[in-house]
Amino acid sequence: MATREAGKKMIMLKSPDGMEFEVEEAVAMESQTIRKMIEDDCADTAILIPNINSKILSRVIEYCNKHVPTTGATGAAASDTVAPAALAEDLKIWDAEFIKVNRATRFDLIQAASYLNIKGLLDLTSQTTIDTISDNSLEEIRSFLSTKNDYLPEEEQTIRRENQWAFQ
Amino acid sequence: MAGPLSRPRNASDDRINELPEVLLSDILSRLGTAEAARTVVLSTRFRDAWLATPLRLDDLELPVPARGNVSLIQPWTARADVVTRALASHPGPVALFRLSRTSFRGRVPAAEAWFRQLAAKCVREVSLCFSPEWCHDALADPLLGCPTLQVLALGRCHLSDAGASAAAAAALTELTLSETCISEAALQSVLSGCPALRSLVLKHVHGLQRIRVSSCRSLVLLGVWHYKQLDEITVEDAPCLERLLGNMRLNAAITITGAPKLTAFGYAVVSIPHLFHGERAPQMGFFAHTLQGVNKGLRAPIHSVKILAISVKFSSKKDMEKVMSLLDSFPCLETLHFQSSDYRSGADKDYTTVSDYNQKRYPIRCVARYLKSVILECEQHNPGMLEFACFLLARAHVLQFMRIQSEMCDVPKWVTEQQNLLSQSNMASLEAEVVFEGMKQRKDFTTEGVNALSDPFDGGINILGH
Repeated sequence: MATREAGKKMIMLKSPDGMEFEVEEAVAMESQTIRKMIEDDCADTAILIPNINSKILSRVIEYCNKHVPTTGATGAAASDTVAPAALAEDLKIWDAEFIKVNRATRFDLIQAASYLNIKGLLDLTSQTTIDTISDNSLEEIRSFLSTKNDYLPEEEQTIRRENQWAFQ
Repeated sequence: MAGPLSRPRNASDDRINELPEVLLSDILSRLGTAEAARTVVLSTRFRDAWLATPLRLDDLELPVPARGNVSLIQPWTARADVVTRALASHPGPVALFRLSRTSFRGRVPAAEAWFRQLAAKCVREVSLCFSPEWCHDALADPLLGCPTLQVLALGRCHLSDAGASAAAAAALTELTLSETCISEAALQSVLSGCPALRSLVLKHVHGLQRIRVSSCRSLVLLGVWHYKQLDEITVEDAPCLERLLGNMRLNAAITITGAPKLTAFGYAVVSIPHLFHGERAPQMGFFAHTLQGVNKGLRAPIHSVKILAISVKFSSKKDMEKVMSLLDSFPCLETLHFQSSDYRSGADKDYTTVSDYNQKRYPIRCVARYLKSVILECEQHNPGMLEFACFLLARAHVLQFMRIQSEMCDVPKWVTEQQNLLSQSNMASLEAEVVFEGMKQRKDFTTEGVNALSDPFDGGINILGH
């Protein structure tokens, strides 16, 4: 397995479009899916991440790099000097910037977060969709999500009647 | 799974339809009750996803019935009717059923039907968070037979003996009964029908003269609040029990055996504020060594308890004597919390030195050998409490910390006076630090809140007044 500076274990991640990313093991293990592969010793050379293209994978790695807990020699020094509350605030601002992406990218990120099982990233990427559904009219939600109404008229009537309690 | 790469990139592509079912479900489960239910009209995919997502029914997330549509005869029934329709519209399972503002008034049969449906729809959590009397004695038996139920909090519902004896809530970990009507035998049956119970809170439960908790082998927290006469609190064979919290008046006989992990106990209410009709004044017989032929009280000292909380009138000579005996029953205490129940005014007026306990002949074992920290709380100026602080400072050899909390701490002159008084006493411990602090706003009691604290009495949670 590849190693670099101060004995930190490195892991190679490969996207299906042929790109390779060398990342620290601790960063890769932010993904519970990859953690399991490493723990099961399935990560000898490089791990192929199916379904996630290099553009999305690089963003996911960027997220994990930022969110990996700061432990170890250098990490301990950092967390000694910065208060945890300030760190959390900094992360929140960083997250808000990170999620400023178009809809297509966001849905790709949701799927990637789900496949790789990264809870923080899944929460972050789902939240915009949740906010949209909470704050908008049905027509606005439809247009935002590009969802087509595929109901037969009588079907729609039935479900509207059954869930009438949910409308004001 | 079709990946982002294999699909043509197209801005108008229906991308949410690419989301796997499980992710759509995840998004729906994070929405409010009505918000999620409204998405069904977006498309058949949303309808199918909503039906397949466990229902979270929280009445704070339901639309408030518009005034115009509400019956003028019984307007309060409108909310209950929305709950009925919401529950009927979903096939289950039900992840959460939480009511905070829906009274059962005029809809008791409907509420009883909810309980049957919830049990049939494999409910996981039922929490009735409103005033207990809003339950209007609805029969809640069906919930006891629900094997998926994990959390149950009832108000003034009724649990019958027959229902209790059929209890089979194998997954239930948290049970809260507030003013619920249940017989002693039924409580016993419920406890044996809930083998996974970790937390049991009994708050002003109706129909109990004795609270007996025996062979609750997973129980960690027991809460007992009562304003009516209770003859007895008995805990037997509770190997995991760590905390016994509530307002335990000492006119009940308290017996604890087979609870080797019990570390926190309180509040022990030494001074009864006022007696209800038919209630007896606390007996000195609470304490084993002053039994005087009354077979009541702690049969043996509890060595495992490290944290004790006491509510007492510092101005009462008799009550302070009882505190001394009480301390003898907890020989290994490290932390002591006191809350004064002296009346707001008059603590000063009625106060005459009650230093009888100062003449105590033998040392109090826990104070002399183990006591590390003391927290004394009183809203007003309280000379009796300060005298007690001096008493402890003079005897606690390993004391590290004493905190005096009072509204008076905002007055610097008062603090200086108190500090001067304390400095006149002989401090048995050289390391003891005495701190004065103002009173803090208390949070309401929740099992979750108290579980997060290493000392349940030191986190600003209102335990005594719950």
